[in-house]
Amino acid sequence: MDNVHKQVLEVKNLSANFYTSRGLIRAADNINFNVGQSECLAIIGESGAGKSVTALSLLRLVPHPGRIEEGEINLEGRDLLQLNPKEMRRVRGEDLALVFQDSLSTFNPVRTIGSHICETITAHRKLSSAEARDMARCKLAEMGLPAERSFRSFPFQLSGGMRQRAALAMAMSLHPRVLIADEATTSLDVTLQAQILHYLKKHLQECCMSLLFITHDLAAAAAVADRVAVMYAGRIVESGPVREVFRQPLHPYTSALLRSHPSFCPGRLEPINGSPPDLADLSPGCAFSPRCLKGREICRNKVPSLQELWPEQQAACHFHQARKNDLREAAVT
Amino acid sequence: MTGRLLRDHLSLTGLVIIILIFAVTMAAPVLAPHDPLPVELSERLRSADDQYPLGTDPLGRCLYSRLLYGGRITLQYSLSVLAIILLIGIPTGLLAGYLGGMVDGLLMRVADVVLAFPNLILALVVTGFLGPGLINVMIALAVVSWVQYARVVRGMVLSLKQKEFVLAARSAGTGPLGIIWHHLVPNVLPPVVVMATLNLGGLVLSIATLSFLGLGAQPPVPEWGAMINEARNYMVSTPMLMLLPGTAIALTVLGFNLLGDGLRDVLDPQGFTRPRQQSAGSSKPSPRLFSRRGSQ
Repeated sequence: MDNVHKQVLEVKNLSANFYTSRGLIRAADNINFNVGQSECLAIIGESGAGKSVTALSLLRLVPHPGRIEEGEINLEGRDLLQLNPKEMRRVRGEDLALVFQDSLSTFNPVRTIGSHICETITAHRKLSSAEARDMARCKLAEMGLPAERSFRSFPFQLSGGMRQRAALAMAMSLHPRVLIADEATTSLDVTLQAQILHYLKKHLQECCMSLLFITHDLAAAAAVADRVAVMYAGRIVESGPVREVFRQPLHPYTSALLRSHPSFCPGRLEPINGSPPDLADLSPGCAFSPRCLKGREICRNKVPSLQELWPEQQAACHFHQARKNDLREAAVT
Repeated sequence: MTGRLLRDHLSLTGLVIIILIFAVTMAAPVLAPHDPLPVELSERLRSADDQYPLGTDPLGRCLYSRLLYGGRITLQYSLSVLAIILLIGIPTGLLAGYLGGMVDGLLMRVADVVLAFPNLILALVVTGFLGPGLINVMIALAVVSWVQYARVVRGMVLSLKQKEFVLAARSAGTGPLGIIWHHLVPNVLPPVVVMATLNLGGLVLSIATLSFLGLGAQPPVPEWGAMINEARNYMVSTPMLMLLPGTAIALTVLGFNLLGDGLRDVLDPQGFTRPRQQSAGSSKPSPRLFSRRGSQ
């Protein structure tokens, strides 16, 4: 992919921990990624991999007992972790917007869709309520919804797809710089999903918006993303341009994930043995090592760091890093 | 919603009773044939006739007129007490629930202290302390009853603020006041309306009780409870003097309770305001479970 993207969102060494009765849970551990202008970064991984916590940390809304431990979240040069609560509120919705998976619970059941959108608009813009209402109707129409009817509807009166589009209309109402879609298309049927992905892609170019697309649906990620980051047990284990990562995955977890998905594996599907690790009780080494076919001694004792193995493609795996060192030594001699 | 309420015979009855009592008492100056206050000893204890539709009391005042004016006072003061209670209880509950921590602990310990005493006894003590009079009764009742509202509202806020729509609103940049006003208040109100309606009956009764004990309305002010008190000596000879205000109180309370029950079925199917089920082994499925299932 081209390198001309101006970086809009840069996340450095972001860690969010949960202090529970069972001990410390590192739900997001040393997360690094960038999202460029008009670019889409997909974060993929199983449930419990820390994707949603990462999304919420960006907005500084990690629920209790969680806390952002350290790191830097640079949004167009401003470190969000240094802002005071009032400035942070202005960032939410205006610069960084979030769409949730379950649109039924995103909306307050006793209020109309329209009042939600107006609330978001008037929280940031000094508009009269009539102007806000017009703007909200306009946004709903933009998403292909019958503006007047959906504006006056209560959440339960709309179908799941309409509701999700309304949620998207709300998130997009202020033209955020970065949209975080946390499993936003997961609950939709394929045609609707395709429509929404198409709309988002179109919007990225037209409005210079960036998209952080969080999903466990590999096919959707492949369809919409420019780059992809694979998360496992709270860490990013591989990242790179979507085509390279899906064609030639470096991390054993990524390749195992792809081999278990019909869109990427034409033959017989292979399940990943075992189950995702308990985050409160991680092994001292690579979190994937108990399930990894290539696991070695070092994998169980030392956490691999994310290293660039191919141009623009990084992976956190001792196996590949050892091989790369071998190659380098071979080249030197 | 209104349709469901009107289709239920009991709540419709309640609504009709309440509307009738309100209409009649508010129209007292028009409907009452006499002034309820001046004493006319020559006319004392007359039985019903054209001039006095329900007869007169021991001081020769028209019983019918006194009933109408008495209802006005009872209802006015009940509604005022309710307004004060709501104005204290709802914000307290919202604050305690939303802020949590120290504020919550402090407010709820105060609430615990108030709840530790039986309502009427505490109201008696407060009125005794402040001295008799309707205004003092009002204050006393407000002091003892805001607590239930604060408790219920706090409980609901605690569960509401965990909801995803609150997180979604925060992620869209809504501030704490916006969250409280746009997302907590609308969800809290329906059960509170139900509680308030049910509570009104109780308040009417409490005001009448305290007046009966001589702490509330002072003679010659007509008030239903005070009228019963004044009629005690004539209980055997002229039972109507006691029965009529008693019936009026009973009807009003019945009306509010029926209406409140109906409102609860419509507004609060999840049963926030429903009294807890006592017997665990009851063979009847609890209505709460039923409505839960039906509502989801």
